[in-house]
Amino acid sequence: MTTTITSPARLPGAGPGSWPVGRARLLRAEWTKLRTLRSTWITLAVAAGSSVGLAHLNAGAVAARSAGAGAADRAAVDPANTALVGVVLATVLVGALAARCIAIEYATGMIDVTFMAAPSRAAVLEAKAVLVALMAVAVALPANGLSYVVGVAALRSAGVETSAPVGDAVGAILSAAGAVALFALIGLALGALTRRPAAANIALAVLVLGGQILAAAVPTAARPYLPSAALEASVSLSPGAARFGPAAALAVLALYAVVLLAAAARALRSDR
Amino acid sequence: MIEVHELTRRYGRHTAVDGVSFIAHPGRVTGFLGPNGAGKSTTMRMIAGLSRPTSGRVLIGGRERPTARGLTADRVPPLRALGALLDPAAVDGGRRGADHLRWMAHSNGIDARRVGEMLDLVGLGQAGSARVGTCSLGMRQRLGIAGALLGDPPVLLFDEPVNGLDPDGILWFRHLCRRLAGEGRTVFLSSHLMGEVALTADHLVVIDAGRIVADAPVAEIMAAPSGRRVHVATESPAELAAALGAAGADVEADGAGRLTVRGLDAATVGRTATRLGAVLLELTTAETSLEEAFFGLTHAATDDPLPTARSHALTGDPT
Repeated sequence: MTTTITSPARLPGAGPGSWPVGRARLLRAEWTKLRTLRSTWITLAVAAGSSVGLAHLNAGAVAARSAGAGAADRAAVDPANTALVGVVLATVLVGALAARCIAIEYATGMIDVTFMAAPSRAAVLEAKAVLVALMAVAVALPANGLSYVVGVAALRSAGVETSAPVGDAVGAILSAAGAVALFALIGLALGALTRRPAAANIALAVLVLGGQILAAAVPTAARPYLPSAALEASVSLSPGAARFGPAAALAVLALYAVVLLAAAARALRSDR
Repeated sequence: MIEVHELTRRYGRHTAVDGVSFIAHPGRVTGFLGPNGAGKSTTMRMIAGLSRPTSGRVLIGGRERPTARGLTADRVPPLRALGALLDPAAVDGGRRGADHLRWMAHSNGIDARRVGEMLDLVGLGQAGSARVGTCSLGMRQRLGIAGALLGDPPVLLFDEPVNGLDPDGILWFRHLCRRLAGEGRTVFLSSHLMGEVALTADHLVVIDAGRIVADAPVAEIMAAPSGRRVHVATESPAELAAALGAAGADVEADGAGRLTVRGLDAATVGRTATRLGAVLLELTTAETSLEEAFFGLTHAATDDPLPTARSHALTGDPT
């Protein structure tokens, strides 16, 4: 017998106050799950890289379009909207990553191992939610900042001077990162509700990109409340008359996230 | 110890598990046997706390399982109370085996050094650094067994553990189960492979159509009603049957020259035939296999006519 099955000294009990201890352990376990998949890092790298790349490309396109226009039109170019165009793709990618982290567990059956290790299903969802939201902010914040700098530089080099105050620029960058984090939570909830990565991704894509599909189905007054419209509004410095400002747009997205997460927490209680 | 009390699970109008009660004691291997669809996995999932019983309850070491709503019902981290391997495919293929064990260890406050130790114990060693998607079913079985042992639990649950294991692996697992039981743990393993369970288990719980049809030591179930039989084929069956009957045996003839003899050994049957001058074409002894005992039990419990002639002979059912 070369290995002992029992090594009691290394197996401390949970000890008193097991609730906070359990929560910290769960965060650590879920973090280990996320960081040990290559797809996590690849997805995040693609999300960040494409944000910056799209900022550069879109700024060039916007500048080319406004080249023949008058000075007034050039001044109307929204640097945030132009440079943060990649947020939409980043949102889909990060949302899909969040959806996968729970849907794949159902698809493979690993969720059983998770729930045997941590019987509280709400606590598992909570730990995953905290981590995907933090991960989204940690990636989106620098990516959005860099996108903004790259986008504005590309506009300037094409002769389009933008005059957004620094405070507004920072606000747009923060707001866009917040939108990505909220879509990560929406993605997680969709993953928990559908229990299949593919189904969750389709649902997510419709919410993020399906502005035109869904717009046809809802009255005009309700359109700003669509997730796709709220996402767009959250990264704009010059909201149109019918739109929300960034803060209100984020509040709309937060409402979606809360409602869907509550439904997800309920759905997790049912057996696989 | 696993105590199962009047456990019932219904899915709509279908009753998958119907008032099941048994106890799996520490220090021995309890086999949980039944045909596919008999309710084994449903029962295992309820024991593991993954599926809510419609009624009845399960106690692990005298305690209720942690519920789905609370983090833990008591202060023992769940993986330290019960280790289970229910499905070796229940792993994310993109993750390394060692990392799969690592998150499990983190979730229950288990020292991460256990990960390497358990990988060595199940014979994966360096293979633990391979992504699970590239591993064979046998390797995933071993990974699942390592996961079950990770928390050093007193109760172990294995659902169809030898599927995908090669003969060496099956032998290894049999020894592991004996060793775990020898350490005073409760080992509960399900199988539809009766031969395998007979070699590993001390005690059998047999389920069929959601009900327990037997709960007894392996030796007792092996000593099925039919017992040992001698098959003999001869050119003069009527004379031999008469002589064997006179010697106190219970003889069945199939009308084609074959006799099934109970109550005499092969040597006595042979000597009787020699005295008669009957020419023997075949003389064999048949032991009741666990399969036969099992078919007998499940057949008796359900009254379903079984398609195999063998089981008819076993139960003495003339139909």
